[in-house]
Amino acid sequence: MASYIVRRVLMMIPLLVLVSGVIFIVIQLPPGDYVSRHVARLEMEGVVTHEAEIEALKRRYGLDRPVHEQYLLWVRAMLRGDFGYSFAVRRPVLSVVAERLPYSIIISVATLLFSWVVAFLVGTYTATRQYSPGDYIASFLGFLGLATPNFMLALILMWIMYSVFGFTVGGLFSPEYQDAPWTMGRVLDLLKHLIIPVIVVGTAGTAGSIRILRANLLDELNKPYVITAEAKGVPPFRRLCKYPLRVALIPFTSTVGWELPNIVSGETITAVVLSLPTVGPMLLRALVDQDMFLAGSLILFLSLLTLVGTLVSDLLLAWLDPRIRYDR
Amino acid sequence: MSFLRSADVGYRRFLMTDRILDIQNLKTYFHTQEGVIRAVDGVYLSVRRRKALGIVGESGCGKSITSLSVLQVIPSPGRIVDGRVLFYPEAESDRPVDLAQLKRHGRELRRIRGKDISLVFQEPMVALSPVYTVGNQIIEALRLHEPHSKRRARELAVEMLDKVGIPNPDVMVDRYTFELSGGMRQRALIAMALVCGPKLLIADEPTTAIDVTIQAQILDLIRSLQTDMDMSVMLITHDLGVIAEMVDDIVVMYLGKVVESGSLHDIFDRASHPYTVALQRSIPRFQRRGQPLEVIRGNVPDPYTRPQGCEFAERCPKAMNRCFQDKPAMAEVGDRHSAKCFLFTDEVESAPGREANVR
Ligand SMILES: Nc1ncnc2c1ncn2[C@@H]1O[C@H](COP(=O)(O)OP(=O)(O)OP(=O)(O)O)[C@@H](O)[C@H]1O
Ligand SMILES: [Mg+2]
Repeated sequence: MASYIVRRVLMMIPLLVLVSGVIFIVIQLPPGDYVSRHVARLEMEGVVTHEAEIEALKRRYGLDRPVHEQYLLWVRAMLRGDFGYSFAVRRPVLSVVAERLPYSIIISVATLLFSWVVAFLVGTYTATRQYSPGDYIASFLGFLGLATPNFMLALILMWIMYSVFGFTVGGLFSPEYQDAPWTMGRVLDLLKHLIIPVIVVGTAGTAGSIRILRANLLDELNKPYVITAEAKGVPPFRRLCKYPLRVALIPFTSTVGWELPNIVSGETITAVVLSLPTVGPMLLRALVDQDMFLAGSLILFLSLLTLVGTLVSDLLLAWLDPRIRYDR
Repeated sequence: MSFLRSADVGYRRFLMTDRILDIQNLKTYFHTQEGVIRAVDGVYLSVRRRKALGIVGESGCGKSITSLSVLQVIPSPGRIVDGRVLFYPEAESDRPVDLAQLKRHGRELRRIRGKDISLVFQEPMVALSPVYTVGNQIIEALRLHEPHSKRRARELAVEMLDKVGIPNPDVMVDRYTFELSGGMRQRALIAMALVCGPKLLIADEPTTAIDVTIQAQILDLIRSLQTDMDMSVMLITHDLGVIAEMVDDIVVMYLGKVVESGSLHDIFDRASHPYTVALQRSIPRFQRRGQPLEVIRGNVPDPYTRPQGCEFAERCPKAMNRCFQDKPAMAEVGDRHSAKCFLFTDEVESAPGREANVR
């Protein structure tokens, strides 16, 4: 197991290099370099720029060097924590991202956990009670969840919360906690505001996961090894958990990797509707504005999230399935 | 009066020797959307204590489902709909447990599974979980029934692996099934079935998945363990060659019913039912030299419908008119040898009520 983990973590290095390379190319894609574009924009706004200033900027970003050196400079700067400058917001990228990324991560992870717990419980229930009324109801709700667009679900839930509970949804904090220091009250307030985004963002994925788990578990339930376990006297619940469920979870687990970026991109529309301070809307705006340092960094962070997601799912898989960890 | 009764019991025991398992009119059906599959449709058979019974028959005749029904470990949507599975743990003079009456998920049945009666499943490649080590699964079987410490259970598991002829048992105990060959898996499966010292071992085609040399080893193994451990065996196979070397008694099944039963010699030398005769002729080993191999003509009828008369009539070379109208009763053709065919009886099979089962 240890050697598998080491190998798996080492494998992330070439992946990171590849991803950063692609992102660098994306940053370079718009015509002209970004300093010239920045200058052009400033001039359009009527700001007077000095030749020396422009040269300094260009030198700072190594724009006078060959492309591969620019890439290395860019990587080196990032390793030092300098992610460049957002020309649209006029602040260093890092500080802009730092405001929003944590909330994105919180929503993503909370959504993933919600989605897992619900899918696990409902999937197991529907598979073990195939064709029961509960199975039909869950399947119906599941398909409904798959088919309803996120923004609509968000609007419906907002309306329900407001008209039934008198609770205004929107943002991640109530006004009184908006700029307050972190206290227990603020955490609870955050959790309360998380419920709706998590349900909205998670529903489609959860419905999908339920179908996957149900189908896998149904496949496993009648496998000979399960009957063997029953024939040697293993009690029903323990048998379910130890034998078919564990195997059924294997394909389920391998979905985490791509579930994370799905959640982040699925979150964008929801975040706009619910005015959540997450990276989704920011990435959208950065791309529209051609604010390439910001966009590039955001994509980089999201890629990193994906890589970490796949790492976690691979480690979980190896733990669940010895065939993977012994495969050399 | 009491003298008479005890003499009576003694006499009966003398007559039919001690049975450990007595299946009466067992019916296991699969209720599917397409219809009802009568996988096991009124089976009678018994296993004598410390003896081996062989069940033979074409593929799909219900051998596996019969064996799985004993412990009620039937794949869904299969269900026992009628019949008795009488189990006499110590002696036939005791009160039997009717396994068919116990709750499928209940504690009583769980105590018998793997402890008194063990099952070696048909497909060794998939009968063990791929995600746990061999040792884990054997130790689980052991500790479910006997209060051993983990360490002691492990020692016993290693011992058992050694007994079934697995080399380096203390290393193999920590291996996963996908690291083992088919023969080794089969041995591990047998070790798991034997680890609690069962009184009855049900082995469903324990040798089909493995090559011939290892087949012989496994059969030898089961036979020697049978004498060592005082075990009764129910052996299922469609290989009459295996049967000839392993068992004392045989039942021949066709379409969910027993069509002939008797001792090994009865069935081999005095096969009575036309189906048994045809079955033997279709197997190369039992061919007299120079005689051409025969295929049993016709096909097994579709599983949802059953003919009105004898199930085998369509394919039977000796079928008479009445074979297509009525179902024959089981008829004695010798001492402890019976066949279900109008060649030997005029009686028609009666739908047996509870009375008819009590002997
Ligand atoms: N899970 C199931 N669902 C529906 N029908 C089944 C199921 N399992 C078995 N059957 C039916 O039960 C009948 C008997 O099957 P069984 O497995 O007992 O045959 P068998 O004699 O063991 O055959 P083989 O020699 O191929 O192992 C078959 O005709 C099959 O149609
Ligand atoms: Mg079978």
